[in-house]
Amino acid sequence: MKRRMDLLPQVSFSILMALSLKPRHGYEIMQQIAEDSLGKVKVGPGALYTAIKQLSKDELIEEIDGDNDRRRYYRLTKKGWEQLNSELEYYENVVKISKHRTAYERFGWTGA
Amino acid sequence: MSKIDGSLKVYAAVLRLYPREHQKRYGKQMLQTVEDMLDDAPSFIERTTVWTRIIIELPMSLYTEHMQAIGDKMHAPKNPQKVRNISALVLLVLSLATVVANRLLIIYQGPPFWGLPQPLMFIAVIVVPLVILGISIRSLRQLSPITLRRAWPFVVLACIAAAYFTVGALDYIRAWRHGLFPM
Repeated sequence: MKRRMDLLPQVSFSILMALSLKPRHGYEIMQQIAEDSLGKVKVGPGALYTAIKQLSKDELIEEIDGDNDRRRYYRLTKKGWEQLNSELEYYENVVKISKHRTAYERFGWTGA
Repeated sequence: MSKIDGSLKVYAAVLRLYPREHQKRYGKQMLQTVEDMLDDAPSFIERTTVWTRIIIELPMSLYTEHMQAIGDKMHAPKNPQKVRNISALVLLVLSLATVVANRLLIIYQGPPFWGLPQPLMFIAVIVVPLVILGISIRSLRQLSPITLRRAWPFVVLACIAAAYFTVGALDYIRAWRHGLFPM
C-alpha cells in the first residue's frame, strides 16, 4: 500500500490504536491510551478532544450514537484503518532498521 | 452538593474559555469525560492528580483551539501550518515589544519607562514571554518530523523570537542590577 506522507502526532496515533479494538467514548480512549503506553502517555480532556476533532475532520474516525448526549462513542473509518496500518507499517520498518543498526554497531553484523 | 458536582461546575465554567464552536460540539463530552475521571478518583490525592493534569494542559489546549478557530475564520481549516505561522508572528510581535520596552528602559536611564514596580516588570518581561515561548515550543514538539520540515517558517520565526526574548531578558537583568526599578 502506498504510504501517506504525513505521520500522525502521537496523541492521534494513540487514539487510532485505542479505537482499533472497539468503539469507545472519551474516557475509555484515555484509559486505553494509558494502558497501551504502560502509563507513559496520559492525555487530558483538552488534548483528547482537540485530537478527536482533527481526526474526525480528516475522516479517520466517526461518531456513533452513545447511551446519552454527553457520552459519544467513536470508531475507526475505513480511511482510519488504512492510516493506522500504514503508520504501523512505518514503525515496524523503523524498528527493523534500528535493530539492524544496533546489531551492526555491536557485532559488526547486519543480520542480512 | 457533592464535591464532584462542585468540581464539575468549576470545569463547566472553564469550558466557557474555549471557542464557541468547540464548546458546542465537544463541551458536554469533555464535561462527561472529566466526570468519569473524577468518579474513578475517589481519594483526595487522586482527585488532585486529575485536576493537576487538567490545569497543566489547559493553557496549551485553549491556545491550540483559539488559534485553530482563527485559522478556520481565515478559511484555512486544513492548514495547521498557517495557524502555527500566525502564532509565531504573535510570538514575534510580543517578544519584539518586550525588547523595545527594555531598550527604552535602558535609554531613559532615569525612572523606568513604564513606571512599573519590579515584580510587575518581571512578569511582563520574563514570565509572559517565557510562557508564550514554552507554549510555542510545546506546539512544535507535537508536530511529527515530516510536518516539522514543512513548517520551516514557523521554526525560523520561533528562533528569531527566542533570540529577541534572550536580549530582552538580558536587558531586564542589567536594568535590575543597576537598580532601575522602583521598589
